[in-house]
Parts: sequence; structure tokens; C-alpha cells
Amino acid sequence: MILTYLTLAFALVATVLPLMKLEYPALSGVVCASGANERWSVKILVPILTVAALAVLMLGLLPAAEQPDWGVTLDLHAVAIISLGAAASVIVAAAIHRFTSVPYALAGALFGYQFMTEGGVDVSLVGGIALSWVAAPVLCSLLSALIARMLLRYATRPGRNLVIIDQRLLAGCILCTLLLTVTAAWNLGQFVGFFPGALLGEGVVPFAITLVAVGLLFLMRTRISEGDTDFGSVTTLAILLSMAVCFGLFSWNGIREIGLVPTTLSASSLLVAGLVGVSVAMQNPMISGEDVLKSAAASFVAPVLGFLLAYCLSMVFSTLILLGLVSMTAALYLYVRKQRSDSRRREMIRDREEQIYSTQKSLSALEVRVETHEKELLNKLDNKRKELVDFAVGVSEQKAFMEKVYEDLVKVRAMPDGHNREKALDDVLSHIRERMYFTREMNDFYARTEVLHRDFNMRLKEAFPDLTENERKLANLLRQGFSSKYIASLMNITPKSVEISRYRLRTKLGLKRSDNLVQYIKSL
Amino acid sequence: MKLFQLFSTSHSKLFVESVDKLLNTVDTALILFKEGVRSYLYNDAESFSQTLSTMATAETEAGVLRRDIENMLYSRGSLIRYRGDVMRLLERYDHILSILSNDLIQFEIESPSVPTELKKEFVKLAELATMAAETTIPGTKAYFTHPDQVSETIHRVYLYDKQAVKLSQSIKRTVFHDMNQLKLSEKFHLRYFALHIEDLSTAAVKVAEQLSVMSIKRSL
Repeated sequence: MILTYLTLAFALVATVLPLMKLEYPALSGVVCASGANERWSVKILVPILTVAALAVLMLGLLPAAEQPDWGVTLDLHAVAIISLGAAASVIVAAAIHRFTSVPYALAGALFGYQFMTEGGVDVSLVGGIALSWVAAPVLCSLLSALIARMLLRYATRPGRNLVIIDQRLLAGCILCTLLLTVTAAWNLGQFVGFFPGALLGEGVVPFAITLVAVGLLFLMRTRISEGDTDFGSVTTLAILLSMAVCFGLFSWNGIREIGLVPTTLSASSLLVAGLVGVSVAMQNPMISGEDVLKSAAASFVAPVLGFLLAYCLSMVFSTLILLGLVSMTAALYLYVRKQRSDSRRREMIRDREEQIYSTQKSLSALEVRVETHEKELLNKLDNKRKELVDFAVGVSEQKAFMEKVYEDLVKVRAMPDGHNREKALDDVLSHIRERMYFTREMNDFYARTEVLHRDFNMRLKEAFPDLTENERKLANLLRQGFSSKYIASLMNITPKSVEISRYRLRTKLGLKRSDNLVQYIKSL
Repeated sequence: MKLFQLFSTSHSKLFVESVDKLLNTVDTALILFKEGVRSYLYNDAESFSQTLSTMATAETEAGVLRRDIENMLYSRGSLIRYRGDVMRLLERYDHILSILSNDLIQFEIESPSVPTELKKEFVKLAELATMAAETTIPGTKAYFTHPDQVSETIHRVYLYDKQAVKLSQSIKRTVFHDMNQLKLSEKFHLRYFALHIEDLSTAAVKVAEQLSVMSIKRSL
């Protein structure tokens, strides 16, 4: 019994999951593009209609389209082989293009199994089904082109309001969505014929179990993003209607009269065909040629590969071996997935560690920079403090000097006229003159300039070693942009002497008459 | 059940009516603006204050209509593929309405003193700017019914805008170069009002650009 459940569960996953992943988006995408899915009535009616159509089929309340006699006894072994063959071929076909055909792969696998077990297949049946698979997209393409052309004429007629046109197109889309839901569920639901529900027992219970399982698999469906099916209302309505007609037509026994066979169709290939038809009608490509070719190739590969795989698998494996193989594959898949997730997690941790390391590095660099900056600021503060102290000392010195001069002058005034008084007055005057030269301040000034322009002085000494001390001082002052008059007062010489010193400096620096002395000094 | 009202066009007709009403309100507001500017410049205080209150009513009415339309677009699933564009267009019209209303209120609050020789120019500027905005209205109506005619109206909007900009520049030049009797603050004040009226034609150009994009999208 466990083997039965396991096999049936595997069969469900292997057939329904590809349907949800690859066929469902082709249907839901067009519905989403039409905007019909925004209506609550549609949101409620679509699942109800789907379940109702499937229930009618599964419970046999209404006769389904007469399915071809596959000539295969669907026991557990057959179900396992066919499911595996179909699933594997769908995986390969989906690698060619996402618009592949799951029902064709399943049918291919069925024929492959039949070919192996029965020793042959009904060629006329295979031919009829293959012809239907070709005829359905062609018909869908033609229909969609015709409908699109008619709708376009209606929508572009001048004088009609866009709001009214859009509302009618939306109404059409909603009706076609409902029609498509019923016909697609009717057509694709014929997969049920393949699923040996009888192995679970008779009545409503196996039906309910299957429905719950399908419902669970439905949760894993691929959702459509808006960008994937960005079609206009005309395109959407044309495709919806043509797809609905094709699904309905190929579920109807009446088409046998024109040599075709009712069979399950691929929603993906119908969508591609519909897009081709609309592109031709609107003279505006909705799908690239490459996509059409790849999709056609995928739809061709799916049944052929399904056939071959089922044939080979049925030759080699018994049910038990097959289930073991599937279990091992599943276990291997889970193991690889776990390993991948572990390695991804490890990579994430490593990335985060690297990030933390680089953050720490930049933090410590920042700390160093802050410390350097703090030191600079402290130095500046120290200099300022020194300047302040110097200034205070200078002020007190000046005061002391002025007091001394005052006292001397008082003494001189008290002296009687004569040689001594003249001498005392001369002394006072010479003191004042000495002070006027402010040698100490000048030296201090030069010392500070030396510190500030240390590099410049070094360069000057290296380039012109024969410059005198005074010439170097002059170069320094010129570099700071002082005028000759100001330099004269700073160096305690006349402006004329400054001019002469400048001329000498020019000569020693080897400058021509046209060269600018200040610019040259600044460029050093 | 709503499904059975699928082919009923009553909601769509209501939507069309609301859009038409909104456009008519914008049209009325543009006429009021012209009247308001003229009344202010020619010192018709009574008419100006009446225009101001009518403009406030028109703005409120347009706001209500815009919200109704928005509600219809989103709750009834109308114009699914175009609703974003239509809403953006209506927002641009809302911007035009707020420019019209704000400009008149600014005239009332700040009472700029416009020299007599510039009054005609200001009236002309207001007319050109409103003409640019007025031209977008048939363009918008054409978008819904005759999309191929949208480009013609858009062309005219650009033309009026260009003329409005030229006139505004000429006013500013006259104010700053030829009117030495005005204080700098008065010159700035006049330039500010010229700019405000010019803004209207710029807003009209934005509507035209939006319409142009929408008509291209419709043709795809």
C-alpha cells in the first residue's frame, strides 16, 4: 500500500508540478494582462469553474471527449516510468525555452512505454495526435489574427470613446477568461485519465485526496510578473478567445470528422501561436522570431524525448528499482541543495566578516587621523599660547622701557645745562634708536618665517648657496608679497637700498630683464 | 451580480461625463483668471473679489470631480491600461487650477502696482498663457475619441507657450531697462508676477507633453 501511495504521489508531482510551473503561467498571464483578474466575480468564478470542470471529468458526470485507446495497462510500474520519462523530458525541453509543452511530453512517454511493452504503437493514432498538435497552434494563430483584425477595426473607429471601447473589451476579456477556464480545465483535465485513481479505491475519497494534492501543488505555481505579458486589450482578448476556442474544439469528438484527434493541448504553444497571429494582424511584433523557434523546438523535443526516456526506462527498471532511483535522486537533490545553502551561508558569513574587518580597518584609520588632527590642533593651541605670552612679555618690556625713558628724561630735565646733560640726552636718544631698530622682534619675525617656509629656505640654499643672509631675508619677504616700501621699513633700510638689493638678487638668481623676480621666487 | 452588468455602459458614460465636467470646470477657471487679471489691472475691485470667490468654488468643484474620477478608475476597474496616465493628466490639470487660484490670491494679497504702460502687456500675457492651457482641453477630449487629432492641438500649445515666454521676457526687459523710476523691489515684484503667469503656460506644456505620450501609447 505504501508503495502505491508513494508511486501515485510521485506521479502527481512529476506531472502536475510541470503543469503549474510551465503551462499555468501561459493561461494566467493572458488573464492578468486583460485585467479581468482584478474583478472579484472573476476571482471567485475561475476557481469554482476549474474545480467544477475537473469534478465533472473525474466523477464521470458528463462524457468526456473520447480519449484515444492508448492500449496501455496503467499499473504502478507504468505510472512511475511514464511520469519519470515525462518529467525528465520536460526539464530538458524547458531548458530550451520556458514555453514548452508538458502534455506532449506525457503523451510521448505514454507511447514510449507502450512501444516497449506492447512491441509497437498505433501509427494512425500517433499521426492523428501529432497532426492535432500542429493544427491547434496553426488554428489558434489564424483565429487570433482574425479576431485581432476585427477588434482593431472596432477600437480605432473615430468618434468612439476610449472609455466605452475599453469597457467593452474588458467585458469581452472577462467572458473569454471564464470560457477559457472551462475549456482549458476540460482539456487539460483529461490528464485525469492517465492518473490511476482507482488504485486508491472507489468513490469520493480518492477524488478528494487527489484534489487536495493538486491543490497543494497549485500553491507552487509560477506567478506571472506584469512585464512578462504587457499586451494591449485587443491582443489579450484575441488570444483569450482563440485559446478558448482551440481548447474547446480539441476536446470535442466532432473534430474526428476532419481527420484530427481530440487531445490535450499545450497552453504555452497556443499562447505563442496566438501572439504570432496578433503580431501579423497588428503588424507589430509581440514575440521575437527566436522565441517562436525555440518554443517550437521545445514543443518538439518534449514528446520525442519523453518517448525515448520512457522506452529506455521501461526496458531497464522495475517499479521498486525505479522508486529507489527516484528516492535516491530526490535525496541527492536535497543533499546538494543543503550543501549549496550551507556554502551560501558560509559565503555570507565570510562576506560579513570581511565587511566587519574592512569597517574596523577604516575605523582605526579614522582614529589615527583623528589623533593626528588632535595633535595638530594642540600644537596650534600651544603656538597661540606662546604668542600670547610673547605679546604679554613684549607689552611689559615696552612698559618698562617707556618708564625707564620717562625717568631718564625727568633726570635730564633736572640736570643743569652743560656737557653732562648733553651726554645724558644722547644716551636716552641712542636707547630709543636702538629700540626703534626692534632687533629682537625682527629676529623673532625671521625665525618664525624660517619655520613657516622651511622648505623654501632649504630649496633656496641648495639652489643658490652663494646668497648672503640679507639676500635670503629679502627673498623671503618678497615671497610673502611685501612691497619695497614695507620691506625697507622691516629691514630698516631705505626703499632705494631695497631696489639695489633686489637688483643684486636678480643678478645672483640669473634672471633676465624680462623675468619677474617675485614670480620666480614663488615658483621655487 | 456585477458580472451581469458587464456590458452596461452606464458607469463608463458617467466616467466620460465626469471627465467632461472637469475639463469644463478648468475651462471656466481659465476664463475667470483672465477676467480676474483684467479686473485687477483696471482697478475693478468688486468684479475682482467676485471672480476670486467664483474661482475658489471652481477649484473645490474640480477637486471633488477629480476624486470621483479617481474612485471610478480604481474601484470599477475602468481603463486598466491607461488609468495611471489618465490620473497623471488629471493631476496636471489640478496643478493648472491651483496656479490659477494662487495667482489671483497673490494679486489680492500683494497688490502689485503695475505701471499703466505695462497693463496691456500683462493682460496680453495672461491671455496667451490661458490660451495655451485652453488649447489642451480639446486635445484631452480628442485623446478619448480621436487620438490622431491630439498632435495638432499639442502643436498649438507649444506655440502659445513660446509667445507667452517671449512676452514675459519683453515685460521683464522693459521693467529692468526702461523703467528707472521704479524701485528695485517694485521691479522684482513685477518680474515675480510675470513669472507666475508664465508658469501657467509651462503647466499647459506639461499637459501637452503628457497627452503626447498618452497618444503614442494608445497607438501601440
